[in-house]
Amino acid sequence: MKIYLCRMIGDKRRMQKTILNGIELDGTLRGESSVTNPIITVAGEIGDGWNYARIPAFDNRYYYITDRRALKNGLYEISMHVDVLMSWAGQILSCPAIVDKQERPGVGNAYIDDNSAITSTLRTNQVLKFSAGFADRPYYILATAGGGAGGNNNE
Amino acid sequence: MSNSIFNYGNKSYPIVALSDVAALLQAFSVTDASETEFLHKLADLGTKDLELAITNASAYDIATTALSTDAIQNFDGAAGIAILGGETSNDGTEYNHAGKLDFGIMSIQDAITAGLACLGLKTKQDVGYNPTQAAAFNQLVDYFAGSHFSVAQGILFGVDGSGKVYLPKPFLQALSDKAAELGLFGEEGDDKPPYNGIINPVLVSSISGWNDFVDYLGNQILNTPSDRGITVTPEIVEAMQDGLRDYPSITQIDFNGQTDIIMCYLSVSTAYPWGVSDPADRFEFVINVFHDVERFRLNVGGESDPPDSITVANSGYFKTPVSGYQEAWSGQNFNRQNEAVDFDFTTFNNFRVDVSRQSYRYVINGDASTSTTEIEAGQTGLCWSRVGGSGTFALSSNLVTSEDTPTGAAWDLMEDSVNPSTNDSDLNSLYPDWVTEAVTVSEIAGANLLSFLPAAAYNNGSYFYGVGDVGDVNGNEQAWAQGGLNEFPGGIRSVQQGIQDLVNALLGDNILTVLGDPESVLDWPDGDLDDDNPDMLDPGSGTADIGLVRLYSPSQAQMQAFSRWLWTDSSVLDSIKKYFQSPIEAVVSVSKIYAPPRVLGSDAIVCGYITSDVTGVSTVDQFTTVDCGSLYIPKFFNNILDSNPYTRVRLYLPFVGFVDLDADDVIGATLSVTYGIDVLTGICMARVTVNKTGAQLLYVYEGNCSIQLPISAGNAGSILTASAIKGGASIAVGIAGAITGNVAAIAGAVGGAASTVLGSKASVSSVGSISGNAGVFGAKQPYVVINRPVPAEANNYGHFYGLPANASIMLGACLGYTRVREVILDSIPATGDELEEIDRLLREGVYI
Repeated sequence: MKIYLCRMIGDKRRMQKTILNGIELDGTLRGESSVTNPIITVAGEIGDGWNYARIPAFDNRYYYITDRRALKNGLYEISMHVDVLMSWAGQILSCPAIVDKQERPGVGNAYIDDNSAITSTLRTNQVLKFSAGFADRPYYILATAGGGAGGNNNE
Repeated sequence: MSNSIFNYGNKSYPIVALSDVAALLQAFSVTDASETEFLHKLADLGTKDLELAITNASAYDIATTALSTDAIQNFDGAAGIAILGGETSNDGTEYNHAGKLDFGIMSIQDAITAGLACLGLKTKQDVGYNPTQAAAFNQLVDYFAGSHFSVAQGILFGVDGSGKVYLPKPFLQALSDKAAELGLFGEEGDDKPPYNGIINPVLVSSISGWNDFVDYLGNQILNTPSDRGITVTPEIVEAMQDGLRDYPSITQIDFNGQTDIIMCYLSVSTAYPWGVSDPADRFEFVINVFHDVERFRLNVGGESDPPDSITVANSGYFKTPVSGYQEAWSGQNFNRQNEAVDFDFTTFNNFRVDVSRQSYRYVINGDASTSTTEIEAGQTGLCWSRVGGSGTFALSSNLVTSEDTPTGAAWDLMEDSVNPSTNDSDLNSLYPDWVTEAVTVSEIAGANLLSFLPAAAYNNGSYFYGVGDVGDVNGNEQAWAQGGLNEFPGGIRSVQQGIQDLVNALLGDNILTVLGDPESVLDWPDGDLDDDNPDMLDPGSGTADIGLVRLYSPSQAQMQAFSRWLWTDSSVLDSIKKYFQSPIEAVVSVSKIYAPPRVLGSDAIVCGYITSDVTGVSTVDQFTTVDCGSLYIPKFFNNILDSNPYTRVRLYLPFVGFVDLDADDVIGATLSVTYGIDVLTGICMARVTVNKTGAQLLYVYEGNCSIQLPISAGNAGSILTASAIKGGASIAVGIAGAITGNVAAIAGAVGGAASTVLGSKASVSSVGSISGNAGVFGAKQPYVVINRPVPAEANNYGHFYGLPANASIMLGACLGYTRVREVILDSIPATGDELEEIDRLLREGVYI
C-alpha cells in the first residue's frame, strides 16, 4: 500500500496541521495491525525528519509516527497512531456541540462564571452621584399643640 | 468625568460623541432615559464587538449638534461611538442622505482589518485565515476587543462627500505599535511585505510581446494579442473575481521581463462578484502602468445593460490620496463590447476605474499604448491591500509604487513609518501627507481635538453593514461570518428602520441565541414589571389632620419673631396671659430638616389657646418626599467581572449611610432613589428602585433626617430624657394651671410622645448608620461607589484556555482554542476507538 511520509509542524491539538512535503513509499501492513495503530514495513531508510504520515488506503487517514524500527535487509517497521483530528477534521467541524470554552470572544455568554476569571488584588473605585437629593439649606419645622380640629387644613 | 479622549498607552477609551440624540432616543423608544443612560446603552452595544457609526448630514461639527455637554462629560462607558454627519454619497442621487441619519456596524475585527490596510498590512482575509498569521491577527483582536480594551473604535464616513472612511488616528497609532510588537511588519530593507503568500504577483519574464497573461496565482496562462494591447476575456474576469472573493486580485503583465501593467481588481461591492442587480453594486479595479502612458483604451461592455457610468480616479503619485474623480463616461453608447473609449492619461501612471454595474457581467478590454521610455526591469514593489468582504476600502493611493519609486521603496517607507525600532512611530511626522488629510473633530467638552485619518474608502455607506462574504483560503465561507452580529442587512435604511435593525440585530432572538443567553429559551418577564411592584401608600396628612398638632415651616426671621414673642413682654395683659397659659408648653418640637416640606397654606403660629403675632407662616403637611433622580450603573468589563462578587456596589444614602447593593442587581441598571419623610419626627425611608428589565423596588432603608432644636431647658431635657428612655412612656411636662390644665396635659402628652419618637432616631442599615445631626455633615445627594477588580489574566489567556462560552453551536463556528462539554459525533464514520479519542480530545481542548 502507498504511504506518504511527511513532516508535521504544530501542536497535536490543532485540528488542521501544517504539513510539509514528504515522500511516497510502498509499505506492507503487518498482519495484526489496526487502522488506528497500524504497523507498516517499508523498504529503504527512513529519515528522522518524518513524523507524520497519510495512508490513502485507510480512508486517507493521517497518522503520527510513534516509532520506527530498523529490520534486516534494509526494511523499516513504522508504528503509527491515527490523528483523529486531522483525519476527520471536516466531519468534526460539522458536529454540534456545547462549547465550554472558546478562544474567540463573542461566541458564548461572557457572563458565565466558571471560576476562570483571574483578578489581581488591586481594585478600583468609581463614584457616581445622583442628580438630585436633599436640600442644601434646612427648613425649620415647628410643631405646636392646639389649634383645634382641622389642624393645618386651614386653607 | 470627562472621557472624550482616547488615551492610548494608558488603556483608556475612545471619544464618545453623539449627534441628534433626540431622534435616536425616539427611534429607540427611550422616552424616560437620560442622555447619559442612552449613551451607556449604546456603549453596551458597542462593546459587543460592534462598531456603530452614525452620520447626520447636517452635523459636521459634533459640538454644535451633539448631545448636551453634561451627558458627554458624565459618560464613562468603555466603548466609543463616533458619529459625524455628512453627505454619504458622491453622486447626489442614489445615496443622498442629506438630513438623514445613517449608521452601520462594523466588528472590531473589521476595524482592525481596515487599520491594517491603512498601515499596508494584510487584511483579515489575508492574515486572519493565513494559518501562519492567524494567531497574530487574533492577538490584535484580543488586544483591542478584550476586556482590557473594550473598545469599539469610532469610524467616520460620509463626512466629506467622497465616501471616504476615516479611522481614528490614535487607533491607527495603537494598531501600528501593536502590529510592530507582534512582528507583523517586516525588517527594514525587505523588498516586500513579510507575508507575501497571497499578494505575490507572478512575473512572466523573457517573453516577447504580450504573449502571456498570468494571474497572481499563476493559474491562468492565456494568449493575448501581440499588438501590445490586452484583452481581458470574460473568463479572465471571472477567474480574477473568483480570486477576489478572498484576496486582492492582482494580475501583473510583463513585457520583456519588465513589469508593464498591473491590473488590480480591488473590489466588487457585493459579496458575490456578479449576478447582482442592485445598481449600487460597483466593479472597481485599478490599473497601474509602469510606463508613461499616453493613452489607455478601455472598453467596458455589458451583456445585457450598459453600465451607468465609468469613473476614473487618478490616484496620482505615491501617498497622494485618491481625489479628483474624473467622470470619463456616462450613460449611453457603452453597452457593447469593442466600443472603446480612449482615456488620455499622459500625466497619470496609476488610476482607478470604477464601473457601476447593472449588467449581468461586464467585459473589460484594455489597450494601453505606451511611450518608448525604457524602465528598469523588476520594477515592482506594488502593494495592494483590500479590506473587508463587502466592505472594501482600497488604499490605492497610499500604497502604489509609481515608476518614480524604486523597488520596495513603498514598503520600506511604510515599515519605517510604523516600526518602533526605527523611529518613534509618530504618525504625524512619518505620514505627513496622510495626516494632512485627516478630519479633525471639533472640540468636545473641552477635550482635545481628535483626528481621523482617511482610509480611502469606497463611496457607499452601506459597506458598513457587515462583513458579508468572508471566505477562507479555499473560498469557503466561514460559518461565523454568516450569522449573528456580522450579518446585518445591507442597503440604505431610514433612521427608524436602521436603528430598529440594529436593535433587532443586537438584542433580538438571534443574538441572544448566539450568546447563549437564557432569555432566549425561557419565558422571562417581558421587562415591564411595574405592575408587580408594591404600592407605596400615601400616609395621609398625619397628626396635623386631627387638630392636635399644628406644623409650621417658618423662615428664620419668623422663628426669631416667634422667639421674641415667647420671651418678650409686650404688655402687662399679654404677660399675664402668657403666664397663665404658658404657650411654651404648647410647643411640641422645633427641628431642622433638609427636605422641603409640603406646604398647605399659611397662618399665624398658634400655641395652645394663644395666637402669636407671628403671621404668614407656612403650614405644612406631616409627610413629604424627596426625589433624588436616577442613575445608570454602567457595565465596565462586559463580562463576568461586572458581576458579584467581582464587582461590588455600595450606595450612600443621605441620613442612612452606606448600604451594599448586589452588583448582579444593579450593574447595567438604572437606580432611582426616593425618600418618604415624616417631617414631625424626621424619620425617613429611602426607597431604591432598580430598573433593568422593568422598574422594581428592591431595596428599602430607614433613617432620620431631622435635627432637634431645644426650645427651653425643660423642653430640651424632655427630649434628652425621651432619647434615653427610647420609646418609653411619654413624659408629661405639665404645668397645669387652673385654666390651662387640660391643654397643658394634652400638650405635654403629645409633646412627650413626639419626643419619644424624635429621640429614637431609628436607623436601619446593613453597613453603617448616620442620621439626624450626623447626617447633616454627609453628602445630601446619594452616590454609588463601584468597586471593581483589576483583571490579571495573562496575555493571550483566551488562546491557551479559552473564554467561557456555554454555547450550543457547530464546531465549525469556533475558531482557535475550543473545549467542549458535550458533542455529538454521529456523523463521523470513524471507528469506535477513534470516536472515543475525538470525544476525549474535544473535551480536553483543541485548536480549530
